[in-house]
Amino acid sequence: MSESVPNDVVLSLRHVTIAYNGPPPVTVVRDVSLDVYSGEILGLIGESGSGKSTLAYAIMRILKNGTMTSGAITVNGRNVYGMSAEELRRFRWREMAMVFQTAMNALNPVLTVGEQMVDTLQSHLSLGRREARARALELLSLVRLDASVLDSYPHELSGGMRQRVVIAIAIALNPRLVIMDEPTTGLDVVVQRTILDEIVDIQRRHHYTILFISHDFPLVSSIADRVAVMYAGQIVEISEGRAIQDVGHVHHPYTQGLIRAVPQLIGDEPTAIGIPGNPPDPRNLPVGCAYQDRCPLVQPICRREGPQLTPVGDIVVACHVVQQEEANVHGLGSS
Amino acid sequence: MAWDPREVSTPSVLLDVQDLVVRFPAKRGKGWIAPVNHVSLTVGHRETIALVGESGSGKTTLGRTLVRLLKPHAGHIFYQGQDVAQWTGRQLSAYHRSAQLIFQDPYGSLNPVHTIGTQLALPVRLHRPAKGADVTAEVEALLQDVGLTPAAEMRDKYPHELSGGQRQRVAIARALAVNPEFIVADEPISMLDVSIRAGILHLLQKLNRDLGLSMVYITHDLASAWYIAQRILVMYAGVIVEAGPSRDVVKQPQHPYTQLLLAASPGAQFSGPLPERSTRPPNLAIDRVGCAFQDRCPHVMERCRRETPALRHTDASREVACFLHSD
Repeated sequence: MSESVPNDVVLSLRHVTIAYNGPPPVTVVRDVSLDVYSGEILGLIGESGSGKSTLAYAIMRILKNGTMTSGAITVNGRNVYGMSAEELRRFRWREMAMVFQTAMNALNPVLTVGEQMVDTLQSHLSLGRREARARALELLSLVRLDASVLDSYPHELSGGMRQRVVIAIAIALNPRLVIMDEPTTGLDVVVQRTILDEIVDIQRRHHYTILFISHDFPLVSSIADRVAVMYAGQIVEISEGRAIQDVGHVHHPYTQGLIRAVPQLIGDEPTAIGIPGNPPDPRNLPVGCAYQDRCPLVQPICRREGPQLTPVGDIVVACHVVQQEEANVHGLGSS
Repeated sequence: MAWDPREVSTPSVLLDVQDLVVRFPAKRGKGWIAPVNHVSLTVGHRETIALVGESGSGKTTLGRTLVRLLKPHAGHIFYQGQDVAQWTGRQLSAYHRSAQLIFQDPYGSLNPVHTIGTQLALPVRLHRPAKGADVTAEVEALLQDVGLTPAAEMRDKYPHELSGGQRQRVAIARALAVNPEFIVADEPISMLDVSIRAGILHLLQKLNRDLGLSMVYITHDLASAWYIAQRILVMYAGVIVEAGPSRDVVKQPQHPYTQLLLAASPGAQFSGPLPERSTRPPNLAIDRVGCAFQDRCPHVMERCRRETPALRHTDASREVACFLHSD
């Protein structure tokens, strides 16, 4: 966006399109372009089926039953899809790591936490067992876990502790990019807040670049520097983290809908205005804007042409109506 | 001077719970845990109350006991004046026609091999004196009630053909099939997408208004509790630590646990360290001594470790179980 300081891009997506294998193939991510800068937390918001997790899996190159049909993904300047299997193995975890949604499934139930951490460290670094254990202890203290956790099995830990272990393993090799896919979903409110604070704290100190995927609007806006909103496989808006919760700010109609959809704790009266209808079937997308059937502002043009992401004020938005309104305001202002 | 709760009880009480205890054998070692530990509460006719708490608070156990899917160890559940706490057999079936539960998971609570119509016809046949064509008509009316239209089309669908929100509507329709007066909704929106949560909340409000249902809404989310319920009861480790009109509880929380929960809630715009001393999970042991929240409370006093604070009125409508607010 209009940053004067040229930030270096850690993750770059160019026209990424992903389809699940058919027959017939179903396109679930459509022409997504996005840059994530060094040291930033980019929140990726979307509902189920929006394609946000698919995109994360594609970045890690671990898509199952799916294929990136066009586009390019580069991490630290390296083309993720141009690497040999061995290069990719080394690249993963050293340069990019992922925290999966379900901590229980991400950990091996028959190994202690220590064994899993040592395993990860030794398979990427030439460390002795003792050194690896020492590093594992360091990592546990980073996520505020007691040293005794090292000799525990996953089932002996609470959900919050398991999620901390998964985060510790993800940052074990100091990767530049950490992808977090709903890292706190299913955790209690207080535990969730504590872990988010820890993530932000570790990120600030070690300057990781984080792609933080979630469906939870208030949660993402509280920690992200920028937020990208996905709908039906496309990015429809990119905003500053602070602006995204502000209903008075210019937004995509879907973003406006999401802000109003859940009751808020601030304010005098809680309101909840749902978004009518359901997301479109990816096998049967309408011509034009994918949001047209649920949009309160829909115009004839929305049913003919798909809107492109365009800067409007300090946001980037893919909406004909918002773009036109902005053009009108500018037209009046200059005359 | 303490307020006498009898003086300010709701005008017309449907459910009057007194000193309820639900216990389970402790997993490790000996003894018992009590996810519901001497709980008293009332639900008025046509009233919606919210039970707010985190995992381990006992809110789900309490909800299941209120609709008598679980049998309490001790205490009373007066439903329209009759104590249903120890009912069994025919009496219990009769109570289940009045009191129904809506589960959190609309994916797990429906039978995947039956159509929506079949699943709804069963309770209609069992609990309503309807036969043949009447059953079909009643099923379609239920689907209309929960906003699943066109009903004739929805009847023939299988659960996997429906979205999460539609499934939760089916689950609500099934609860309504027996014409209940009282519903416990256990986290009914927490597994749904953000954009369709409001629709389910509106449906619950409509049922409360149009059918005159009384409701206990169970959640970990203070914002939706404020939105849907007249009163909020905050639970921690098996006890109610605070109760009052929803707005007051959200805007001026009195119990340190409510304050912590509010600070941690996304969207509360709270910054800085959370007001707690430790992240220890709640102690549910039935024989614990002192306040349930003592390990985490930033204001813990000597007295909190020896005595258990009772839920006391701080004014006509509010109650809190904390020595900071007594005397």
